[in-house]
Amino acid sequence: MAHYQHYRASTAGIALGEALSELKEQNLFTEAEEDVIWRKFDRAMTEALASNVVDTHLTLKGSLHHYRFCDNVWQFFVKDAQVKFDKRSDFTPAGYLKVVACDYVKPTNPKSS
Amino acid sequence: MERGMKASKAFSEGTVKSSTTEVTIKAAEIVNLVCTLDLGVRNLDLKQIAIKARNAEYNPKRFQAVIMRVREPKTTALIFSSGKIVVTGAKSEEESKRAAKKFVFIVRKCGYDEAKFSEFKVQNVVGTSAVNFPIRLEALAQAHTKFCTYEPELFPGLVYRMMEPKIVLLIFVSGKLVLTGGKTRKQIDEALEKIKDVLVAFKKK
Repeated sequence: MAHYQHYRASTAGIALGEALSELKEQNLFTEAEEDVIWRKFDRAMTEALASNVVDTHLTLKGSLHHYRFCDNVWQFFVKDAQVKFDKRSDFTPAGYLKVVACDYVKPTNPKSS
Repeated sequence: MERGMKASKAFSEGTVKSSTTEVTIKAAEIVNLVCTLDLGVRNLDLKQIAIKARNAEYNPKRFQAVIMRVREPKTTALIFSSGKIVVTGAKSEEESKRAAKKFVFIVRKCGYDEAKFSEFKVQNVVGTSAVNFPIRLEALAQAHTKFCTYEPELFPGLVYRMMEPKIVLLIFVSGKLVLTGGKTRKQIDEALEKIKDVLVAFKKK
């Protein structure tokens, strides 16, 4: 069972990508092994976000400019968005904030997949 | 808007005087209007439309049409692959037509230049109104058995099926009314005019 790959575009995913390409330049692993690492990453992200490991709460405020629902994926384009992470930090994206929401896929046992 | 104002004027003139107190009937307010049209294009690629257009929902597992909304006039359209469109939520005939034209424009922008505005037809007009007195539904139902269905255990309102104009009225004890099944605003106004005297006759003492 495959997991969503969109967390690869997150800060953690980008950092992993950079590390992997660096290691690949030194010919430390093959293309196939890289793929395995990525799939483990997809799974780990799904699991972490579903568990109590991540307890950061996020609040999002703004006005919905437009939306779309196709292929079971919601897209929300929020104008003048304000994102707050547990009152610790916040940021205001320029232009539109695009929210992509998909159905939750339960992490499956790696042995069976 | 203008029509509504005209109608409310007509209403204040049409106030019925009863022996003891004055009874008033609110002019019908159109709350929903459903229309259909045909783009004249067969086999629309609904997925492409959902991807290209904004405010679109397409979930073929649940419903075989794209659900699209526009903010002005505030309406919702169901776009089918046969090229037929249903527009709901408009508050007047003019608004409904304006919304329909907007949806045709959006579909055109999604790559169907040949889409045209045709076979526009208002299918249903729903209005609401009220009288300022309570009504004896039980007695009304017994007197007008041919037109009425009143099952208080199933639904608190009395369903009155008027023949001419062909309008269905929901009459509530409170004096509030819902008029539906009309093809034009005029039919709603006519039905309200006709039911007025009936309601006065069955006014709760």
